Amino acid sequence: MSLATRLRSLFEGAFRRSRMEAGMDEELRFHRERYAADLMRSGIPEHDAELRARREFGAIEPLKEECRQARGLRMLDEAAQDLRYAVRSFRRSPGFTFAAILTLALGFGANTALFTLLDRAMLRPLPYPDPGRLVVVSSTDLKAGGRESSSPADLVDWRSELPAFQSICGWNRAAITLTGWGDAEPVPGVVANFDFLGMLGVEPQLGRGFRAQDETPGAPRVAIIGAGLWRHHFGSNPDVIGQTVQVNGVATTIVGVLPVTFHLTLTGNTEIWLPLVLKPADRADRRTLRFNVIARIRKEYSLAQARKSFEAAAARLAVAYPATNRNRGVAVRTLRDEIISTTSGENVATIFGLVSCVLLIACFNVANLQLGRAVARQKEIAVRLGIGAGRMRLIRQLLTENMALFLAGAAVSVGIAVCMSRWLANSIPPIIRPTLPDRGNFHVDGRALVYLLAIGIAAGLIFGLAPALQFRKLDVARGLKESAFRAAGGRIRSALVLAEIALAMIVLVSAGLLIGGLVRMSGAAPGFDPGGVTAANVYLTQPKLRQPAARAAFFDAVTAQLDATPGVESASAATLVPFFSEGDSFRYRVIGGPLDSSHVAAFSSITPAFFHTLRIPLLQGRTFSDADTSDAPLVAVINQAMADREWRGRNPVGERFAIGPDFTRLFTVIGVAGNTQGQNESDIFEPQIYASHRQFPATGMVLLVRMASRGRNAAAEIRRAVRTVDPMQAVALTMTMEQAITATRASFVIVGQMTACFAVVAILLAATGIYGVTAYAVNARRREFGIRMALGAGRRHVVAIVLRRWLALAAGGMAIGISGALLATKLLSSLLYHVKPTDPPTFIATAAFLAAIAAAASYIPARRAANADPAQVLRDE
Amino acid sequence: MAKQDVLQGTLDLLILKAVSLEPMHGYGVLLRIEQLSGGKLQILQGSLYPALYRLETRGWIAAHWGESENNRRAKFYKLTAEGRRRLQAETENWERLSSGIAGVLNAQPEQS
Repeated sequence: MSLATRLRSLFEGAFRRSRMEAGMDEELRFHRERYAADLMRSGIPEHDAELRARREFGAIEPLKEECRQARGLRMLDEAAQDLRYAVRSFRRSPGFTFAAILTLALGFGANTALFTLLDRAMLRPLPYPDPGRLVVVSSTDLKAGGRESSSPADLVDWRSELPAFQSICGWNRAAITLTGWGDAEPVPGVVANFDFLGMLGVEPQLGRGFRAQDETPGAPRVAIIGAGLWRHHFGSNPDVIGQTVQVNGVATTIVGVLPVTFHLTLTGNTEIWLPLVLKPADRADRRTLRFNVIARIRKEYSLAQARKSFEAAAARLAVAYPATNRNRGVAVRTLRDEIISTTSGENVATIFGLVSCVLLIACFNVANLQLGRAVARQKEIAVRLGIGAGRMRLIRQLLTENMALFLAGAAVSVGIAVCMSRWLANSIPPIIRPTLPDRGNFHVDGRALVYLLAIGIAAGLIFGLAPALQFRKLDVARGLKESAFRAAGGRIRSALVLAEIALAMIVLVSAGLLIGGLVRMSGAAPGFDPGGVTAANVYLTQPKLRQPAARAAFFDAVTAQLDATPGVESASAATLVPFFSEGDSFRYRVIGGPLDSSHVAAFSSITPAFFHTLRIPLLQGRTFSDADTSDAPLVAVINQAMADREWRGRNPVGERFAIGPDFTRLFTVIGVAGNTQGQNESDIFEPQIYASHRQFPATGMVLLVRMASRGRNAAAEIRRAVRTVDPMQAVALTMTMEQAITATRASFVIVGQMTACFAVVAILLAATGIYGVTAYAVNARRREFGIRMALGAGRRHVVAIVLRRWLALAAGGMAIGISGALLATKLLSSLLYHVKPTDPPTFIATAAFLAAIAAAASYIPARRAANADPAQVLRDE
Repeated sequence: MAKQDVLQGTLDLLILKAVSLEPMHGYGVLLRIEQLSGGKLQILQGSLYPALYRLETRGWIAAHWGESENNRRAKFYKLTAEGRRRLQAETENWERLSSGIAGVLNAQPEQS
């Protein structure tokens, strides 16, 4: 039978019922009358004929019911009946219904909101054709471990000799200054092999993609721009194709504009794409590891085969070029895995796990409420069984009732999910959005709604079935006498409460650690004074600034210009600014220390006023002076952490250390500065070396300006100063240090706030769950308590009986919860701020808090039982 | 010979066959089957209508309201295209089955 016919029949049954019934009546009457007429014709008198027709036809109602059943309408009828019954029964207990729907809506809503995040972070396929074949390839250091970028020569070899891959593309970020069309504009760029965009399946919306000849040295320079740059810099002008602009001072023709939908999380907010042109010298360079590699596996090869062939290629190179490649391997992993790990998708999954705990608590709670109701309805059910209702039919009806409840909760939760996911999306600082999947554009969409429906139905089935199945074995006679399945119901409910407490423990401990982190974070001294300081990235991209001395002179000139600006208290520049930019790290060896020991230190080139601008205390010695020129002996300021590590208790000023290949660059320590918090916010301060920017000139530095008074537009002053020194120089990313700190800490803050919300919901739900079950259990034992008290037991004794039982239950739940929490917090560890995942104070405090809540929630009903008049109770029963 | 009751699957086949001759109402189906079987087969009224409804729900026959021989409103059933295919398949099935059974029943004791 075709589905369409069946649906039509169901539809008619559901919505054109009266017409169908009338038709059926008419048809059967017609039949009977014709039969009677035929009988009369054969000579039977009219009266007898009619009687006989009626008799032979049999009872009309069962026949009609059979016809309806033939129509497949019976299930539908019964479901509608069950639903009506459910609504009636919910209307009878509005308090329960409201509580249950609200509970479920909170659980479902939060879960769905987090699903929108999880979906984009981990579940959804990447928005490129056949994304499973895209992989990220890294060079590995077989001796020291760790994944690194790859050298140009390795890349060239891979590209030519690996048949398992359709494309193997190197790419690298490039700081671009765009001039020749409007103001000089800093643009985040990517230099990549010509087939990079094609490999990702992206076609320009205007113009053409790159061709192989675009990356031959000496070919005319071309660029493809992103849709964002096209809109805001070129006013969406289609004539931009074929235009020549200056890219870092080099005449370049724009040949294409990418569609607005294209986004690659790994490259972030890239707005200009350039072909990767390797000079002959670069093509032979196996030493500098400077390219990230993405590749597409051919259809005929599996991931494992492709990986094997890549490893074989690396082994061949290791044999052919032992000087550079002896300890170099390759790691191939899917682009999806790479993106998940760079965007901390695992953390999203962990938070999703927490919010699922909250949902489970909500479901347990509602199941608990339903069980309680079921017990209260036992008489009703027994009566219905007694007068002949089928058990299956009854179970189905109770299941329908539960389904209705869960789906109502899911429906209400849509609003909560929409609000919550909007709040989540809005709390992501704009600056980190481009580095998130889908540009951090989380919202409740079709997929999320399908998910919501699925968990709604699943939860309804699972948690609706338990209360319904209770009646499977109900004995009618005993049911009428009450207390028949109290014991069984009580056990299930105790188990549910136990589980609730365990889950609440997990959520609470996680929230406790995260929130504790937030508190510590707001109190943590970053080691400098961020208030009133604005930072701006400046990359020197013009050919005339290639000379190191010219670069140093440029930053000297700009800081001098800024210092002369009214309102500026102090201006300086550095390559590494806490919370703002990551600098290099170098291995250093202390002169006079053990020869075989070296440590890693962060390295920053700074202008002399750096410590003054950020108000980092200079603990010993001095900062750089004009005497520390490029031909003077190398000098360094180190941080306290490095001084403590290498010269514990001694004054390191005058001591020496070396960095560089074979530790040939010798530094003399001239000062010790206070520790500052780095990008990773670890609680252990890492050693840090500050060098003079005149001795170590950098291509890109961060300008730092402390304004004497707030409210002055520091960003504008910085742009003006830079332009005064060089009108062709652009200023990239500008923000206040406070914004930078907020952006860095955003993930901690969002996660902390979120889990705080979950924790509050979890504790409320768990408390109501405990209260509900205790209240019920106490009520069930009223008679017993009445007798005990009549025999002389004191009130405190009764309260103690109740409390003892429930605290034992709570203790059991917490024991399970603690083991679960240990697991959960381990997964959370990268989100924990300066605290171990096993932090005992947090665990103890949480357990105590939960125990107090459990005690309070069971004390109230216990007291009520104890305060009842025994005589009254015994008379009632 | 006593009138024969009809099994459900067979009833479906008979109804399909009856309405394949011309559109007819339920009572007509009943009469026609009795007539065609020479009165050997009798359809119980109680099973005719559920069968008709079932066949209609499955889309093998279609119903419409029309005028009966003596100008009364009656519900007429006719075979659908799907029903026609079904009838053919069922008829072949039936023939295979009955010839098979006949073969078994006609077997003679073998000489050993």
